[in-house]
Amino acid sequence: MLIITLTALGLATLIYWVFAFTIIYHLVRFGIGKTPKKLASVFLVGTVALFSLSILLFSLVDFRAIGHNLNLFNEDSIFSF
Amino acid sequence: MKTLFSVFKESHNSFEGQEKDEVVLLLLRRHPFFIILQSIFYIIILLAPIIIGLVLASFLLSRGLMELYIVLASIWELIIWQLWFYALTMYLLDVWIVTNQRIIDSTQRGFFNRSVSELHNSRIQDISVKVSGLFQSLLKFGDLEVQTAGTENKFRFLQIPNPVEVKNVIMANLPQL
Repeated sequence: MLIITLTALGLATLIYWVFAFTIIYHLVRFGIGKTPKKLASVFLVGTVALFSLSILLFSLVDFRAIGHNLNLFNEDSIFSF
Repeated sequence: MKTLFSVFKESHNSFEGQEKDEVVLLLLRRHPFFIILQSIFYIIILLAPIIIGLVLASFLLSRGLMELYIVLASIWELIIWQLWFYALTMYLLDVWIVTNQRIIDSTQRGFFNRSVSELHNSRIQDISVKVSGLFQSLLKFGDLEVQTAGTENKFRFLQIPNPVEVKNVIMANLPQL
């Protein structure tokens, strides 16, 4: 279960950054004038900030406590590991 | 370093495939009204988790779910941020370029679907402007159609600001007979 979760998170992160890179690449490579370049820099800063914030918040969450609150970690539960 | 930051300075709107003596007269995109509407929509759905969190705060805190909710909200913000800038990218990359030699229509439909067509000024036969509806009249945007001499499809500028001025610029740069 843990491996599946970590793999899914890794895949989601990869997809996210590939999408972000594609947006920045298109704005810089095909954008005409200074507006697309400015937007690309704003997007990059915002993406890094939001991603860092999400990672930080994720690391602060106590999933076991939440799981116990929601009774997810019973003996028969698939979430028990 | 100077070259790196030069992209943010004053631009002559140069583009790929530009000829040596070709001067860009106009760089046109659809009227900002459309992207502003889309942006308002994305801002509303960006703010939605915050508002929902405030409304459900007591419930989430009593169940010890507030931290999880905040993480899920941050993931939501990440996704909407991407989608918003995808919409902005499509808007910015959909351009019409009017130069002293030709008109270029570059249409971006998705990341990997781009079409570029051009029309030399010497082949322009007729230009017509269409402004219809309340919003178009108030905000001064509309469609401009350029008819060529041949049997090709009309060259269309859709929902551009000040189409009459654009028509005047194109007409002023037609080769004199």
